[in-house]
Amino acid sequence: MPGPNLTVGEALTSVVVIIMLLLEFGLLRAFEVGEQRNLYATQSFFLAIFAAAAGFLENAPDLYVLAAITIILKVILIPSLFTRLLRTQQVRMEIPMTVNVALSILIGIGLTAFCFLSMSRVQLQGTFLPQTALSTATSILLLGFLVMITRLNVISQVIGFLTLENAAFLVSIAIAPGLPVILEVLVIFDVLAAVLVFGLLTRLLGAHLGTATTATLNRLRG
Amino acid sequence: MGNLLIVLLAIPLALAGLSLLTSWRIIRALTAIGSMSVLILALVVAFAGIVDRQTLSTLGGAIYLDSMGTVFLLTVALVYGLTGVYSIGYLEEKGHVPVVGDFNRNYYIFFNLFGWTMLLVPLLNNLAVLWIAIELTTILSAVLVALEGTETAVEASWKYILIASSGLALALVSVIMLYYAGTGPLGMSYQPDWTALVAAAPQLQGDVVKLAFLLAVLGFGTKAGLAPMHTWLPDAHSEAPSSISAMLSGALLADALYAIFRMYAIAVRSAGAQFSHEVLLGFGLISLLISAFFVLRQQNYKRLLAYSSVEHMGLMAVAVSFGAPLALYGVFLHVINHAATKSMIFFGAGSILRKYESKEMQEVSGVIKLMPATGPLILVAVLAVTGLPPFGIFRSELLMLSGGFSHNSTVAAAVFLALINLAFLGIFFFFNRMIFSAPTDRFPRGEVSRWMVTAMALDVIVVLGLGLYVPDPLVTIFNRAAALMGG
Repeated sequence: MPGPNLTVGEALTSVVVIIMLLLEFGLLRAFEVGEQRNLYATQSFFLAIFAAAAGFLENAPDLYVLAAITIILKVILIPSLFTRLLRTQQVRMEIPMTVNVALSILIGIGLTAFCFLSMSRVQLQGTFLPQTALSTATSILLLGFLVMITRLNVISQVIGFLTLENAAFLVSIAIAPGLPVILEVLVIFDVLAAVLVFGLLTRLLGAHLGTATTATLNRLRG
Repeated sequence: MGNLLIVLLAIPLALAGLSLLTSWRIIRALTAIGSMSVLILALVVAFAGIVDRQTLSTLGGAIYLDSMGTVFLLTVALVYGLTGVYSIGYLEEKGHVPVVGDFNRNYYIFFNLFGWTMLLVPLLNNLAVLWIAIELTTILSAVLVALEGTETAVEASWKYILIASSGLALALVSVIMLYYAGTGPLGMSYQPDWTALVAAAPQLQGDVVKLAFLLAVLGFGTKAGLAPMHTWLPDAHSEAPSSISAMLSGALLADALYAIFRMYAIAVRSAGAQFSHEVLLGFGLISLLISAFFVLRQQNYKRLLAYSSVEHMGLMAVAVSFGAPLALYGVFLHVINHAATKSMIFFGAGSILRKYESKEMQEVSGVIKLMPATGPLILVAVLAVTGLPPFGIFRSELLMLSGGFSHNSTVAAAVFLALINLAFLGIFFFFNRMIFSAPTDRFPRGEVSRWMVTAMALDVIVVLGLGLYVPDPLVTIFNRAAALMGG
């Protein structure tokens, strides 16, 4: 466990990951997809800052490349793809919910507490950023699942999935900054390909239903 | 010999490229020839290369094949090759589908790309690249599942890509944790090659590897159809074109299982056998239990077969948990048997679907009277998939079971035996009715396509052949693969 004496770098990076977690909570309280898209772009932006900070503190210039690609793809390109989908008006702005905002925030707090308590028992420390990053990343992971389960707008679900990916990257930068950056870049392009297929499916859903909401995806059961 | 692997990988890519350029009538013939050549190349690589040399590698070690990979390469190549032949008959003049565009052209582009990524999976040493290849198989096959463009097909595809990709996000965290565990012995920055990690396994931090293995089983297990993460599977298998269902069940699930096996080999050597066995036993038994009961309540024959896939994946997970070399040998034999038998029966299901134009079991009757060649072949596939002698699955299930009984896993092996019998009854009961009931006169007697029958008939060589006799080179490969898995 880290002592109370954090260096300036550690303190700053801790603040960055906590902001990412708060933005994830923001996804739960958003009522419109446009808002969630902006939250996702902002979270990705803080991920890029985190990568750059880690690159500086760890003296790993590779991570600057990762930060740059994160900004290009996750802060600019993917959100603009969502904007285009929204403009075709096949996707509605409002988000049907199976669990209301207040209750889902409460569940989210419970999940976060669980992650912080359980991860503090695992001996898994990065060289520069100790427990907070890992606990926060696992919290974001579980909250991402919560978003996908309780929010029935197609784009909300994709954004939930994309924040899972952000959490995975957070883990990767925090505990494995030496992971060859080319592999991480390939992973990001994989994610981009998945987003394109999500876009195709959204258009297909829109063609069938007029508007694409997953509330009507209940034909296949058992 | 290493160059053969490059040729093998180049063929499906070239076919995908050609699909963009020429008409689908030409490309369907080329794909059948090309995909069968891939199968032949895989056999050559296995029997003339791997048996003598144990491993092959090329492109500076990026492409790497050992005995464990060979089992899965053969599996994927078999299903890809036969599906290439089957598709000639299965596709019909379909023309333009809204949003999707030209159905047949897109089918061949994505079918070949999908085949390519699945062939790539067992040829990779780097675990991060392995993850990337598996995520690519998800993305490409999701397009194929949605290709018919119907509302239910899109729904199935949506669930599939969302659930499978989310599962794979956990698998990504697992790979990262394993990387972290490896930084001790291997240094801060290294390529996460499987061979390096296995060699360093005893020095890895056990707790971290345990967490990584659990996440890997959750993540790749989602893709492999292990319960309770299997929920995408029945939808995708029933809504995809039947040729693709065969690919999903026979090859895609096997590839995901392969990723779990690679992680398992590292986990048993560092975190110890007991933990790894308990995890696999748990997920395996849940899969057996859930599939046995869901098989009994299906009305759609393709969904029924999908639950049978969940059953077989569970079976293999349980068998690995026995920790007996005999059971592991059985598992590798079973991977090939399952692929051959399940592709055969999904081919049959596709022929029934084309004939009766319904996936509901009550709409289908008298298959053996109306379809004089497909009928008996489906009967063979049903007998084989339910584990009756003299077919291959009987042999591999017997090997897995005897491994369990001989290794003090009597209780688990007994549960295994009871649950596979339950599933057996369900599948046999439903298919028996479809095959032997009195035919309706709504449909004329006759086969839909000779190519579809050919693909099923070719499957018999493996389905029956491996039940009667396992060739010596395969015995060698299975034994070596079992040794690579360890405990």
